[in-house]
Amino acid sequence: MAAVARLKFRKPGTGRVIGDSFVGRAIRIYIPLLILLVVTLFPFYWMAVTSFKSASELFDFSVSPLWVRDPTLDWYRHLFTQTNFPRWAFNTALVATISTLISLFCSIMAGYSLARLRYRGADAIGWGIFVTYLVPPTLLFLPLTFVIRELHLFNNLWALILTYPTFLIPFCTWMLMGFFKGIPRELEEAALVDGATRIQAMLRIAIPLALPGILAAALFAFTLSWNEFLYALIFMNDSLVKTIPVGVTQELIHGDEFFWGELMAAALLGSVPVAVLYSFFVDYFVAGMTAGAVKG
Amino acid sequence: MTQGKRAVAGWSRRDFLKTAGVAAATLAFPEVIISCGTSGSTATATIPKPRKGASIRLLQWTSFVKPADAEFKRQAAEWGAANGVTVAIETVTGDQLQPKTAAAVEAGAGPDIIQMQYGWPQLYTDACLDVSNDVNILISKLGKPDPVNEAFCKVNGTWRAIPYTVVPNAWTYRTDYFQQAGVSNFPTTWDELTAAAAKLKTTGKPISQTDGHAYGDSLTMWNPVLWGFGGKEVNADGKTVAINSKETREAIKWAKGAVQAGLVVHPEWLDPDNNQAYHADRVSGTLNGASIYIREKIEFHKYTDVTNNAPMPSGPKGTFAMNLIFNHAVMKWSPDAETARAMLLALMEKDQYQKWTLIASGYNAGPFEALHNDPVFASDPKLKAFQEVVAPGKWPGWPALPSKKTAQAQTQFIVADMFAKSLANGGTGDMEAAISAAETSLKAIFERP
Repeated sequence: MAAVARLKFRKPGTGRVIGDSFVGRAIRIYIPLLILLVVTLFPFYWMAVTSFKSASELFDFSVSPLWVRDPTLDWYRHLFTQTNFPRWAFNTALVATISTLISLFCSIMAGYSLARLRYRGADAIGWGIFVTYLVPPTLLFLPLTFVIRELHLFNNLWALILTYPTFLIPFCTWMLMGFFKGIPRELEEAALVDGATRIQAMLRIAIPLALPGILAAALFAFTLSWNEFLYALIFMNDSLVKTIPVGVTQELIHGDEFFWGELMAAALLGSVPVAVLYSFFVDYFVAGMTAGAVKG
Repeated sequence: MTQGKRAVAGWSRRDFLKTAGVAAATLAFPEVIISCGTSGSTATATIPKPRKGASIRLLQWTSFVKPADAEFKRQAAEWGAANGVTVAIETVTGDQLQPKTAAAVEAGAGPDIIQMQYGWPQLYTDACLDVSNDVNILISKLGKPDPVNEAFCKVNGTWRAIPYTVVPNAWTYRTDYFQQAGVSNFPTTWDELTAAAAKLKTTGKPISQTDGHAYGDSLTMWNPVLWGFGGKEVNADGKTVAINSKETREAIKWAKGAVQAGLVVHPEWLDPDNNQAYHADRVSGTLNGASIYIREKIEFHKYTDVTNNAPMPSGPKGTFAMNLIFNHAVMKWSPDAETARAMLLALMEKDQYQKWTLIASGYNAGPFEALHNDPVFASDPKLKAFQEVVAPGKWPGWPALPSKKTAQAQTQFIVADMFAKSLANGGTGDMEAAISAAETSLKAIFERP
């Protein structure tokens, strides 16, 4: 395609491709990229800058808020010594990891079955799962509260590990259905002809081929669990069982006064693991997004 | 008439037997029976006893003053240790308290005690235990409860929550900017506030307040303005919507005049925003709890000397205020409700309570007569304003008693929205359209069968 473009749009008399000059590249690539970078990274920059400002500097609007004059690590020190932030981070990671694994297991099974096994009502179930995903947690938290009470799981991390899949499984299943449908059926049929069982065909053919989608679903699920707020707020009580989103807001906001230094330090640290995960799996993530979008 | 005749005639045989019985019982069991004499009541009250080995969980908001929360927890733990009770105090932000409460009520399980803000006892009546016995004990010791706490706690004559505290709201202002603008004292009437706002505008540091959906600062500003000019959402019957009135128009006209003169309103501000604007030296005055002043005094030390506080200005119909009101409900699902009630009574003991208010540094005021002259307000003359706004305090929906309907009107910010629409575009918004919209919304709530 690129070669065709070059042939088509070569500037007469110069031999240069139109728009391939530095200015052209700047207009087409660098400037939009820069704008995108600024828009996406500015919140992180703001969090970082704020977290290093002293108390007096935080409210000093006589100078530019974009720079730090006298950086301090006080807020980070306070976060690690006077709050349970390390414990909240551990809880968040534990809950996000286990609920993601549970959701992935269920979603792979459900997604494969709905995409591959032709049984009556498969389409309706697929749509049902999608509609379930659309029910907002703000409506679901009340009946789920009742369930958690019956299970005696209040103030227990299992309450989150078991409730997060209620919104993760429908999402991941829907996404993986698209992936499995995109894998040529003939590959599995060939394996079946060669004597493989359905399970073996799934494990050795379908799942390895759907790996980008599975990783993308895992990334989505982990991120949703990591950031989840409402269920963690409702089901957790003690400081030691809180997750980052809830612990930070409950213990760093007092009445109508926000303690911005600690809040920003916690927000920055809380976003690092997810950012790292994304940077490792960005290729799979993009592949997963596009495949899920066009093959669903 | 009958009562009058009886009063003149003196004691009936029944009165004598009742009083003699209570007196004898009090002498025999002074630790368990208290005669509650407030308002002529001769009701008896039984002191709840904690159960050794019980476990109590209390859920309330995170106070602005962190050491005050620590003191509350310390007192609760101390009481727990003395009585063999395990006590856990959970604090969440004000915004988070409602969904947690709603979830607990829905599940019929959760904390034994929940802090009720504003009219929540009306919303969650069926989940709140009748604590009339315990409030009567407190009344016998501490005198009358504040009318606003009483209005919120009492549902159809039954106490569904125990009065806990008032978070008074007053004006915090910069004396240096006021002097610079030629305003010697904080305005005592709304009209004076307009004049002051005009002068302060010239300093570049306006008097500012939210007219948005701040669940504290917006309600505490615009309801008192409405009442100060004689306006009201609904009549005392709690059914007849009365917002479309001459008085409401007077209140809005004042607000429009004030904004056109120099009062700056911010529909985008939530509760923390005026605090931040003040700490950042961007405004010369704002209406808030004592948190701005206390944080300046304790933490920032930047504008402490040039900060003062003032009570609410008066309107033609008098002085009105609205404060944040918190009470404690013992929940019906609690397996140790008696222990929970006993703990709350212990925490409301005058000595204990005033240890807590002292550490709260003026952010909280007591809800009973005996707690009014709290030494904390004498410790710093600048805190006096916060003490003064307690008495003229009213509740959203006043003069109607708090109800599910007044709570609904409050959470929909109908009064604040009416002012905000009228004050849009520098005070040139359509007042009639705003009143009409408010009336429609209020009728949908109050005139619904």
